[in-house]
Amino acid sequence: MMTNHQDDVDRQLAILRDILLHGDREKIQKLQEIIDSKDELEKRIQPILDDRIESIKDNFPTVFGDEVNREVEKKLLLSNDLILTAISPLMGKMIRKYIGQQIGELKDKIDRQVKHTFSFKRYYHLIRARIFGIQDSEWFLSQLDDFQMEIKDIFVIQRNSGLLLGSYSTSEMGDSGIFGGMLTAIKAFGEDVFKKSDEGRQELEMIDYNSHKIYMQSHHNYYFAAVLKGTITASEKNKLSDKLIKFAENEKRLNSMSPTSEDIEYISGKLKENFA
Amino acid sequence: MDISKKIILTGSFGVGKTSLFSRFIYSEFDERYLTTIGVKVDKKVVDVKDHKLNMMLWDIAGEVAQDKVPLSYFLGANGVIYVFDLTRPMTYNNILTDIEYLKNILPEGMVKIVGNKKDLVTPEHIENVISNLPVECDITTSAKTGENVESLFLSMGEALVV
Repeated sequence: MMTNHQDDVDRQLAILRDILLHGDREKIQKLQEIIDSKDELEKRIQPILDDRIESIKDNFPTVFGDEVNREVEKKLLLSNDLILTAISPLMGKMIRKYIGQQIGELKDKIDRQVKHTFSFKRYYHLIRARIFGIQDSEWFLSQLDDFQMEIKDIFVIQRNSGLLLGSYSTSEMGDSGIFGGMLTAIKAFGEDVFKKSDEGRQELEMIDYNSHKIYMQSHHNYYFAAVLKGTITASEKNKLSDKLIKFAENEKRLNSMSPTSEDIEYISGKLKENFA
Repeated sequence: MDISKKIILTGSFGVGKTSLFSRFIYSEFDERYLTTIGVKVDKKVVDVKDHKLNMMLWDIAGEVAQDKVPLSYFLGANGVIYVFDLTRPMTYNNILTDIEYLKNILPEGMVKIVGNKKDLVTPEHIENVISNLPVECDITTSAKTGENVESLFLSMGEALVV
């Protein structure tokens, strides 16, 4: 009796569950169909993904910038050789092309110069070259505008104190007084080092930078420092040296131990007159 | 009229020569200790007795004894500022030998003796140090606070312009 009654209750509950959950079952069924169908699922998910992708695109540098930079740096450091292998041929080509162009231009200039100078001037040079031992290459280079030595600045500096006695400058190279002091300190340091050797007093004569050189000529109480640009051939150097010696012979005020502003002004004027 | 004079800052290492130099020229003070390599030259123009004085200042790397400094740095100097550290006796223990050496190589040069870092010690300590020195200390300074730095260089300038 009891069992029959229980069966009835179960049946009635099942009917009730079917009635109550009918709607939900249909919904679950539909969702299952969407999940199972690739097209249906794509139709619904694609707009969400598109929005997300657009947002990442817009905010990529802010969100991932640091991580990407760190990763790129790491990769670059680890792949130095690889990068060099990849870009070297390209750089080599560019450098070769540039040098080729420059050599071409130089060749044209030399041709023009040779044409101009196969004349009396050329024969005059050949005779001088035989007498004074000037090389053809030196002479040709000195004839080309791009290689001609140019005095950019010239200074007269007291030998021990490094105080400026006069200057003439065409470039903007900062304070000439400080230049004089530092150059004297560098000169003194080098000379002190070599003084310890057995070869007697040594003088610093030239400081060589890429495009500029500082030529120095020492006298008893002072020295000249000329900032030069271009090719300094042996003959150009000798010419400048002679000119400086002549200047020193003519200007007795250079020996002033306590130069006044008038002395400096006078010497600077004379430098301009002779070396501009 | 413009006049130029060469002035050397010398003394043992770490006494504050570069700090005095920077304080006077740039009005700056840096707490870090950066040792001077070789020499640094800079310029300050001051008005002294109706003249414009170009003070060419050579800040020389410190050495425990002055005869270790390359002699050529001193040549032609019109004035020498000898700096010692009021807090470190090793920087003034050889002061007499150093000053005699400087006066010997620069017989006509003006030498000023300066006790630096006065901000780190008491007035009693300063009094005790300078009264026991075998030479007269001209001035005590602090490159950190700037105390007496301007006066030191200006008094040197005045002494050099006759």
